[in-house]
This record gives sequence, structure tokens and C-alpha cells, in this order.
Amino acid sequence: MIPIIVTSGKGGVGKSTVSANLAIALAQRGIRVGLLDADLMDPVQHLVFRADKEAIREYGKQLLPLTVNVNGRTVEFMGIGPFIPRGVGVALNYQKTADFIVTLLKFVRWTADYLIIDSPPSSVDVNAKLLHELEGIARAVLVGEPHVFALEDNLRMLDLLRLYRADVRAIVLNKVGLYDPNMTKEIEENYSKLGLRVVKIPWDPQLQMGFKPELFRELVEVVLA
Amino acid sequence: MSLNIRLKLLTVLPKLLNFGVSQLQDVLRQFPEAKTRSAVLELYDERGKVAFWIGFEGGRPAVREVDPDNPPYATNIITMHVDTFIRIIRGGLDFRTAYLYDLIEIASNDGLPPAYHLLIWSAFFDRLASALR
Repeated sequence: MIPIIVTSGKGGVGKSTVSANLAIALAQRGIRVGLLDADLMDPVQHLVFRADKEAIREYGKQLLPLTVNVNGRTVEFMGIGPFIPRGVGVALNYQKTADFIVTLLKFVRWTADYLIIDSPPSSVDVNAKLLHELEGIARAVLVGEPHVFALEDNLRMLDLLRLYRADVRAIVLNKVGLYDPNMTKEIEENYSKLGLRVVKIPWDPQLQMGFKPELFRELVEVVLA
Repeated sequence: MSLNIRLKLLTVLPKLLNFGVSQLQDVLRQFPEAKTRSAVLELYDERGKVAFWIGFEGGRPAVREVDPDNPPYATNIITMHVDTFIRIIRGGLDFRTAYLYDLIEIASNDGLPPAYHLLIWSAFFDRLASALR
């Protein structure tokens, strides 16, 4: 199973949207896909995929992932979202945070060929643990808006990804069209100079609440290559 | 047993100890995997601590009081303040929420991560709270 970390330096740039659509787009290619919602503070993928709360089951000494369906395509799914009460703040210390990450990563019976990991923004402890556990074996996709502040934060995240020898396949410039075109062009040039493949996803309000995997075909090619 | 904790547990202790017997069929149906799982539930307050062993004995679910300083083996140990436990079983606090608020500690004895035990035991505590209410 090949892990693909979807991350960013800044919050709210569309990691969960990219993760969900990438998972569906891969599934549409007939590829077995898993989706791990590693955002322990603010999990949303269970809402995106309407994964209702249910009793967790185990097989041997592994937890069984949930399965979610979109347009007849099945994706394995796991995160803490479906299992914690709505509206409860998460005050996990580092030890418990790391423990959750290890549990979701290594003690779930994933059968997928590719595991999309929707990670929280910035170099918070979740990412530190994730990158440590996946050092040298993960592919990664950085997500950012074409905005100068997002660029600055992503430079730090890129450094962290490279520190842990993640294979950074692309920077997804999300919400293209929402900001000044000149700034978008400048940001794109900056990323290109860093040797990053830039994949642009246009601003589309329908992406906020639904799936448009057809917009992610280029990204699919980039992560599979 | 600490007198203070015993007083706090007075209304729930008989039901807690009888839980395995009275809920046998439901427990088996809801938690078929639980046959290989056990826990020491350690409750403390400022004056002392008590412990219960929860698991399967002879194919039947069992809850029994044990020596908190020398508990028998269990796959994990769940530790919380007795007031937290009472809030949980009275339905005033969700087991998972208590863990996320750092009010519960789980130690693992079988090599599985504590969070794994948390996810597995959550449904059990839901059932326990429902039965004891």
C-alpha cells in the first residue's frame, strides 16, 4: 500500500476537498483506495462521505475500516470523526495524538493499494508523527491557494516533507480564479522554481459540498506516475 | 475498598458487578470479539483507589472487584477519577469525550495501542451506561 499525504502549511485551503476527490478519482480508475482522516482536531471526511457513527469492529488484532460509496465506487475509510460526539473539543496531549495516528495507520486492516491521508495543516504534532512513521515511503501532495501567505506557509511544509524524504508529487493550487491573476501567476512561478509540478484546480463553489473528480484527473496521473 | 469511593459507587456497584450476568446475551451479540479482551477498571479519588476486572471467564462476561495494588492480567487498564466514572455511567459524560478531555488514561498490556482499546471499549461503556441507568 502506497501512502499519499495530502497536506498544507495553511488551514482552509482545501486539503479535505482534494483528498476526497482524489480518492474518488482513483477509485473511478478501478484502483483500491483508502482514505484516512488524520485531522484529529477537525475531522470532516466522515461528513463529506456521510459515514455515520457505528460500532467499530475488529478482525484479529486490527480494526476494520468503514466503507463509503460514491456513485458506485467504494473507498475504505477511517478516522476518529464517526466515533466521537459532535461538537466535542479535542484536547489530546502529544502521546495520545501519536497513539491515535499509529492506531489509524498501522492497526486498521487496510486492503487498499493507495492510502490517501488527509492531514491537518502546518507542522503540528500529527504531521510530525505521520511523517516520522512514513519516512521515506510516502508520496505527498501539497495544497495551497494562489496567495502569498499560503506560499510562505507551504515553503515550511515543503521543507518538512523533504526532511522526512516524502516524494512530493505536486503542489495543488486550489481555488484558481478567486484571487488576482497576477498574484496567481507569481505564486505558480515560485513553486515551479522549487521543482514542483503545479496542478491547478479552478475555483468552483460546487466543490465545497460535492464531488467533482473530473477536475482531478491531472492530479491522479501525477500521483500514480 | 476505599470507603469514600464505596459510598460514591453505592447505587451502581451491585448492578455493575451483576452486569456480566444480566446482560449476557446482549454483550455476546454486541461484542463478539470481546471474548479475547479484558480490562482492569481503576477508579481513584483523593483518598484511595479501587479496581474491577472486566472480561470473559469460562465463556461468560464477568465483572469482579480485584485488589487495585495487585490486579490480575487484563489486556488493558482504564484509569479515571470515580466522579468521572459516575458521570459516564449516569449518561452525563461520554466515554470518548472523557478520553479526549484527558480525564481517562488507558494503558495497554497486549501490544495494541491505547487508542485501539479506547475505540473498542467505547461501545461497551455505552452499553454499560445504558444498563446501569
